[in-house]
Amino acid sequence: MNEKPLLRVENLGVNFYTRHGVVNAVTDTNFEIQKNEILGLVGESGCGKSVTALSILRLLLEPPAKIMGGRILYKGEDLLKKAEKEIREIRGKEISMIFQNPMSSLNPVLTIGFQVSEPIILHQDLKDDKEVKRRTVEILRQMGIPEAEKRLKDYPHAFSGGMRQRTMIAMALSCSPSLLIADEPTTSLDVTIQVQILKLMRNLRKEFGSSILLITHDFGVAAQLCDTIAVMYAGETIEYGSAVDVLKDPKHPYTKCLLSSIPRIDIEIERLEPIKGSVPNAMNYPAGCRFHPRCPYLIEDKCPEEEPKVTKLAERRMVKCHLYRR
Amino acid sequence: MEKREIMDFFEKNKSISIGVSILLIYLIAAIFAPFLSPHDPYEQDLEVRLQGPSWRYLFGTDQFGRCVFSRVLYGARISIMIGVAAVLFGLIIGSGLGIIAGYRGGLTDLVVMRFMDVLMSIPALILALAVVAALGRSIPNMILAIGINALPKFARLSRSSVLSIRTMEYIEASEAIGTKALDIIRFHVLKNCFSPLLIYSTLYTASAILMAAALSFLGLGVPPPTAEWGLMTAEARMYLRQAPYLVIFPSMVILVLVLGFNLIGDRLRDMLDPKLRF
Amino acid sequence: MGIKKYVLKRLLWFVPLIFLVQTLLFFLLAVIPGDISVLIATPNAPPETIEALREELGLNRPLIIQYLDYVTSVFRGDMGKSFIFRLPVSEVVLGRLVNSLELVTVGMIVAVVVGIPLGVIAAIKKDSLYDRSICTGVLFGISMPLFFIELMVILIFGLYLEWLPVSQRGGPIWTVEGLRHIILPSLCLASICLAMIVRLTRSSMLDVLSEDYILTARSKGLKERVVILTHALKNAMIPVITVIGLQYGFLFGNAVVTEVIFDWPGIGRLAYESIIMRDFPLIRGAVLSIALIFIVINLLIDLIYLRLDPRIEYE
Repeated sequence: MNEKPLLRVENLGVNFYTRHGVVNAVTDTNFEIQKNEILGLVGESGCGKSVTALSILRLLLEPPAKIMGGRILYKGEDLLKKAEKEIREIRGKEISMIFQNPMSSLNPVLTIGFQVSEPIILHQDLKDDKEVKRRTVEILRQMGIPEAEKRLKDYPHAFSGGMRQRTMIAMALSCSPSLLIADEPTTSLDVTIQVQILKLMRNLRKEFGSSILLITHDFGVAAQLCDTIAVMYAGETIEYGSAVDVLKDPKHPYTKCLLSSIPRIDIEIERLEPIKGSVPNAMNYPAGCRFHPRCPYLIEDKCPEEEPKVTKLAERRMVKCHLYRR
Repeated sequence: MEKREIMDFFEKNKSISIGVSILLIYLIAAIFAPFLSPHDPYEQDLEVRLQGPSWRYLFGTDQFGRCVFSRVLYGARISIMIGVAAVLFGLIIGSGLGIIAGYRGGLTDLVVMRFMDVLMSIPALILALAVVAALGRSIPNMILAIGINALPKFARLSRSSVLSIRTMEYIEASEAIGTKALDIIRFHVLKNCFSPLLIYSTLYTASAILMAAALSFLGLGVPPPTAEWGLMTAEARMYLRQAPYLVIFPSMVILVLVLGFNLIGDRLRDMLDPKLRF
Repeated sequence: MGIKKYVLKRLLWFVPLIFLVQTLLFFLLAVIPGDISVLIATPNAPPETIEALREELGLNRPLIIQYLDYVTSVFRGDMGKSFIFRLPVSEVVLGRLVNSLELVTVGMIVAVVVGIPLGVIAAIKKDSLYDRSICTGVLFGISMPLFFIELMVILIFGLYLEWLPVSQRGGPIWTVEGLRHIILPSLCLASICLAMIVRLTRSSMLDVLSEDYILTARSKGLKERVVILTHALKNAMIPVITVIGLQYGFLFGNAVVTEVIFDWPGIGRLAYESIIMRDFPLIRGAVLSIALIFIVINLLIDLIYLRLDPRIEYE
């Protein structure tokens, strides 16, 4: 399995320059996604996962953001080095994105039909209105929107939350992208709708052959959907591996703590253990390992002083922790 | 707040600093006008009429030989007084009516708000003209005429404040334990609408000063020979070509003062409540 | 409530509003000290003439009858006869009203056509030199007394350069003379309105640009120009449109100054002159017409707004 990965993020760093100070949103993030693979980027709010996702499509506004370094290799080419025009051709066509809040992510004054057909018209160079309409209806239908043809003239507020998210996904998949980035796609939906959307996304791989970068703070969602998982903390990827490995045998203390703080129905747990302390301020990270003030496996003279380096435990298994230093 | 904190605040907020400085300068001019004016603003000296700015007459003289600079200084008293009084009128009466309307609801609410609708149906300057025409040219009447235009906005602000608070549970709780309506109003309602009222008051003072000048310019403001900026401009109109400074000086001082209020009001709005953008 | 109900409610309120506006006017005019008939009669007129005048004006009737007659007469099309002009008020008012509408509408159009693009530019290039100079200009624009702008314009363009006429109306706007005469006054009026429109457009645009759907639009690969014009602008215009109705009233009010300075035969100047001359029927006619226009325009703007924003239908 030595194929070139579809997407490979290497040493990505992103800063935000605000009037209150510099925010190190992303410091050293590394992961890769193969073709037809679903990667989950998991972490708490504020750990930099959304910023990472937005960087891939260069959707961050610079200023105040600034990409400090690293490479984002898509099909071997560095996206960070491409011109604006080239990136625009990739957006919506090769790589698409869906966002957390489907209500605010759809333009309230434009019809559903218009918004969904936009990428089709833009990227597929179709002159024929009828063909555009046909494809728009087709993709909406595929995403499970009933009576799609009649609903083209509707506005977003006429749709329910679940339907809006389906519309978003339809919009993103209309040009059969190789990679779909989904930023917390189910977080603002009812639990019952969540299940439906996840099911929908699971089938995407089969039907469209797309890889998915799923961003979530919910391990449960990641467990249901992902092939591989990358865990982020304080702007860094601290663990990476197949979903089974990471969930069953977490290596990094943070991952371990997170997983043990989730209620389980399959084992009996005496009490839930929250992680002591709180997420550090992105303008002022602790010295050494960023997790060390909260770490139950703290090595006194090492962790507060030295930043841990990446340890490769296996072919596609890595962790960033002093515990595993060779 | 310590002196250091205050200094830092002004450094970081240049527009408020400029605005406040302007206000202070005008206030000093207004209060100390008798000491600062080189001449009596009403004293006529036909031998020096229509002279341009000089060391003796800093802003020149008008068609009656009166010192424009002195008149401008005294004019500050009138404009500031009218502006502030009109806003206070609008604020107190307008918010008062709005709070009553919001609190009582029902018929009171209907009557008050429909009255406000009527006031809003007539453009501001025209309503002011009608009021001054009816009641006569005088400063108190100008204050009423200009203040009356502010009533609807103030009433709306305070009324919506009351309405948004009324439904909140802590008010019901408060009422349940017998707190008097007046106290509830004092604590909760006023605290809630304080910022919008402050912002709007500042901005309306700017409009009030402009309106007062317009009324006087049209001859329906202060009676001559009062030294009022708008009136001075009107009197200077026929000498526009030969002595443009007669128009420029009084108008520019209006501009700067209004600018000051707008700077402060804008900044306050940005800081306290960005939603209130008009 | 549904749109239909809302529209109905607004239309129903129209008639009572006119009643109430007139009530206010009646009240104001009644407060004026002195006997009206004495004020308008020629000086030294014999008592019989004054008495005859009183009869003619119906001043001997009980106040309540006078009031009722006053407020209902407008619906009969009768607003009395002007003292100065000796003509029915409706005749006098109508021509002038059209002239003012012309002036104010042209000013408004200029303000919107110039103001919205400026506001959009300021928003897109936030904090740049363009933005800062536009914002500074706006600040000065709203702080400057209108008469100052106009007198300076007259001084420069009319008296020094002598490019354009500075007084009176030159004819219908589609004539050369008409155009030459309307340019200066309407541009001056436009300037104060322009400032507000630029400011509102800018802040509305800034709000819209920070919305999620703009991010979505960009993520589809759309050109920035398309994002701004197709996705952002329509949303940004919604609050701006609602304010245009108010701006119309603001301009009408300020048009009094413009019409006086430029000697424009409009209704603002008519209202002003009739107030000075104490021509009560004319005062009532002029002020009422202005109020009427203002109310109608606001109603139209509200209806347009309802059409613009698709979300409203569902509330």
